[in-house]
Amino acid sequence: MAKLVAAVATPHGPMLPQQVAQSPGTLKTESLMKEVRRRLEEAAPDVILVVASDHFTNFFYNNLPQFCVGVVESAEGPAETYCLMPTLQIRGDTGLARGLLNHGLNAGFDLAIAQELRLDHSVVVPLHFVAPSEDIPVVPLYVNGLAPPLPLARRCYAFGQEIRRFIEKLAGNQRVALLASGSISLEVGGPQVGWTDEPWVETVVDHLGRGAYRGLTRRATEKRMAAAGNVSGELLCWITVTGAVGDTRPAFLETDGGSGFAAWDLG
Amino acid sequence: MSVYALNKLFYMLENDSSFRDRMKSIPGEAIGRFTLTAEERKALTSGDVGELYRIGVHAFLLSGLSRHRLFGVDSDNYFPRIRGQASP
Repeated sequence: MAKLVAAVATPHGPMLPQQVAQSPGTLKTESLMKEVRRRLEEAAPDVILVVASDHFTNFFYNNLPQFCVGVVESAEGPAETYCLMPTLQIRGDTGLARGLLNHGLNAGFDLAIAQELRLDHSVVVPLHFVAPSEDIPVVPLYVNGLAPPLPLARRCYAFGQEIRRFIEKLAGNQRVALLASGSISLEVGGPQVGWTDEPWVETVVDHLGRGAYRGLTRRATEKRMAAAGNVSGELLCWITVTGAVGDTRPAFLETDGGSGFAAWDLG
Repeated sequence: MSVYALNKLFYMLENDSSFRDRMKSIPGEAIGRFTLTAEERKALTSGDVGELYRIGVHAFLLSGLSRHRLFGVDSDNYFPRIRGQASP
């Protein structure tokens, strides 16, 4: 049987690769990313499911899925002009992706499908830091955390539970890892840029640390997340992943401002 | 309602390189294809990011105006303007 061997979570700031490249060994973000990478590599996954929020790269208000599975042979990114890092190419896993799509549909999740993707920084920046080899197939899963109205946190959590059930029913002996991409408190382009909602970060970290994922899900309303910054809905990617980790508490959990870094050892 | 058109304009600015080139070379003509209200057009062409934000443009998209230095907006005046501390 396949097995969910690890889950990790990181931020994805589009400037981080360049900042770290220009000042190696100085930024807290770099050391936290390295620790997440070490833990992910220890789990030796055969495939990584990246749960991310598309930043108006594939999806816009003309056609905007709340949940979408990337069923792609390959893809590359970043597509954006402002994310300066080496192009990262991924190999998809269309068999696994299509299996998850069908499993989700049968479980009552009306998932969208994308068979062509331009990867945005929310997918490639975490991979750049924690799985840069391009050797491990990647399945992008999109949860809308950025373009209001957002899906309910409890639906994201339930989708994560369904991802876990899918993996555990999967034939073969694949070792699967989940990667949640997103910040806890962050504003981009709006008046609150540079400010961190520290009480919210503390609340989120407290719940994560205690494994109180359902409690976090109840608190993470669209209104509360929006108050923490205009892209803080990316927490929905984290909440999706907590739905998959069961009662396991994170083995590693740190913050840097409004950014969170986590790893769950599920092996 | 046509804040959709403004958001679309900023979406294309980032995702369509030929549109981006036209926005830099012939901005008045490039925005002509979008159905904007007089108020929206004025806010856009005067670089009034505070007003564009108030109208409802998604701030993540709006930041493209500063990134691509259009209508007099740059990284120095973007945040004072969006915070209402400065006017164009």
